[in-house]
Amino acid sequence: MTAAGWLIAIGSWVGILALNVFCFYRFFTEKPAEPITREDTPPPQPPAGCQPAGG
Amino acid sequence: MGGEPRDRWTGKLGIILAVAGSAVGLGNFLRFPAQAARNGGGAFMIPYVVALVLLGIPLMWIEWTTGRYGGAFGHRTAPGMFHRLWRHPAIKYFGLIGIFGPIVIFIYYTYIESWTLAYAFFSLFGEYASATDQAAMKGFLQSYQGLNQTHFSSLAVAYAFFLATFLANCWVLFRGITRGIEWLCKWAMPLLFLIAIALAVRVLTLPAHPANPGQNILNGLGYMWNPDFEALRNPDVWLAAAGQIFFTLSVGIGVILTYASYLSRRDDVVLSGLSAASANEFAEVLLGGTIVLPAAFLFFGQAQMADIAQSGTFNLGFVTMPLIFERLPILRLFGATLPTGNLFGAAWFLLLFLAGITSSVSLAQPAVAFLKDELGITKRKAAILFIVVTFVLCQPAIFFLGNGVVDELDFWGGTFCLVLFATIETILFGWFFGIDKAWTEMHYGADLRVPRLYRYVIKYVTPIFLLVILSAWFLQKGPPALRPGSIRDWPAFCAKLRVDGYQEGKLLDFGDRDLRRRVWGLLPADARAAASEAANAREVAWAHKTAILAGLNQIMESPDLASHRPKGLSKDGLQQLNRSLLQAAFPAEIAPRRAKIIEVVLMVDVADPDRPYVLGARLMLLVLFIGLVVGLEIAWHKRRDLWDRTEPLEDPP
Repeated sequence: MTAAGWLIAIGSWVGILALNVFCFYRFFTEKPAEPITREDTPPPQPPAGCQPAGG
Repeated sequence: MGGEPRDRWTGKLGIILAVAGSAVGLGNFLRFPAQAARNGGGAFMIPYVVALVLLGIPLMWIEWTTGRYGGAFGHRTAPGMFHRLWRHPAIKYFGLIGIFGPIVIFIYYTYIESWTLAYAFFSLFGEYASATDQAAMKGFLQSYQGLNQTHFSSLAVAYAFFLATFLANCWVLFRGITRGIEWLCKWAMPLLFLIAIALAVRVLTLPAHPANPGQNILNGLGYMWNPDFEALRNPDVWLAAAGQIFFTLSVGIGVILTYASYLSRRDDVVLSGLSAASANEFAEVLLGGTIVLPAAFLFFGQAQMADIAQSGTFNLGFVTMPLIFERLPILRLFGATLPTGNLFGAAWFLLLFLAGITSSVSLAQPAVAFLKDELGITKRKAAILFIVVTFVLCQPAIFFLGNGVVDELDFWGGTFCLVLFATIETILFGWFFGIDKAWTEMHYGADLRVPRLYRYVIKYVTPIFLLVILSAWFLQKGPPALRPGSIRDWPAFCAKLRVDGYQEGKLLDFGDRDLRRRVWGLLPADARAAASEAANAREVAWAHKTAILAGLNQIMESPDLASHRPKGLSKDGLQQLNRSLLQAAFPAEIAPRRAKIIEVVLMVDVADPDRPYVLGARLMLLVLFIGLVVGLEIAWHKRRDLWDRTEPLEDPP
């Protein structure tokens, strides 16, 4: 195994492990995301919405 | 419906495991390592990660959000959900792809899943111990599949295991979402990860080959991970990475839509979708990348690795791996002898079975949900109807496996429908539903904030990525009849071969266009003329590739290659052509490719007997799709209250 091989393998493994740890830590700590602000999107609407024809 | 309580996941962990169970399949442990080894080793991870970030994860979020949104209006499947995204009278019919595709995959996947169950038993009881090399093990597999009678005199054993597997799926379906799928995944997924980790640890602690110390596990990992950055200049490598991400995450099938529809409006989809994707990546990259190819390297050495990596998913799983487990050293513990090969072999196939069943039950769910929630019949009747119909449809896949039926089903259900469906849903989500509304909907109840950059990724990058894949796959993998200038059209094929590296020439896999030109240039003038004049060449049946490859060594020795001739080409002309192609393939630099060349030359002829079966499979799929259209029409008229609803259903407390 070359140094580049090690680098990519370990980088991939660590990256994916970190993603899993992050996700499941957040998942079990139940920390809700910050609400979306007006600058980001139009004001949240109730999900009801019948989309008008043609979208 | 019908007075039955609404199905719900009992917790977020349930749906995450269910989606991960749907995603983690045979491809994680077999397809990924082979793809990586073939496409630049460690360098493959660069396009792979790019595709994960720009294609896989956005599609996950799109499907989770669309599913939950549709579920809020009482829709469990894509037709109703597409109708919610865009109120156009025709769009619901495109949504049928999200029910049709999973049924088609289910038809053949259940049979393949049953092989893993059978092999778990064979492994435990040493049934294939007499097969000690690749050819013999391949013969054992083919005998099990009914393609020869060297080990099994009939399909009875295979059919018995199919029935057992099918009944196991039925049992889960009858129990429904909470007591069936969620229960199964809560047990099966942790067990699957435990077995995979145990196998990975065993592989990583294997001693070097006694006769050849260079065949050790570090070099095996090197075979898998050492990067060839030159490969990144080849667009096919990027396409292969995108394809792998697509298949591995189970996006574009319709299953995630249905699963997410059972979520409450208050449930998060962002973190849950990301968690399911990350669990799948753990199984694929950390475990799948550690078990198969490093172990194969250790036992078979560098010389055979190219052939093993090229041999395809089934050969890796059912031919190479059993041979590896047979060769595991015997463990002596407290004076007792442990047949570790049998045990690890059984564990390997149990792992594949668990990966398979958690995927197959998910494939059934869109159709069952459509029958129950859109047509308004009871859960029990919906399950029975699905079981009866799919049981009948499974039969051609079992009895005509060697006639190209499974390959035909796999193309339509497992490739074409996936990409088409994902492209449609992504465009609907980002453009017709509107990215602003989609973004807000995605973050409703979210436990995690998606980076703003993804607004643009979802709206622009992912659809373009999908359109590129759709076009490229259509050219590369479409059925021969649909591909322009395919080998079915022998003169055009040869002409393309002569001109440049036409996509079909990819089958020849020479690696570069100059080499292709050179092969053409090596053909004598009369062979070129004969090929150019030939007409009525026949259609290629993909199933025959395996059988042909299995007999390649014998064929290479055959003095009379002319017995395999395309219709319309004179015997002498073909003989000349074949010999010229074979001679051209002999130079050392392209020797590893000669099998592919012979495959291409020979499959032209042997394919013809399969044409009725392939056409039969297409007819079967057409009837199935028409049946779904009729069902949708009935649902549309019978449940107008559901389709016209303007307010979401209220969540149960």
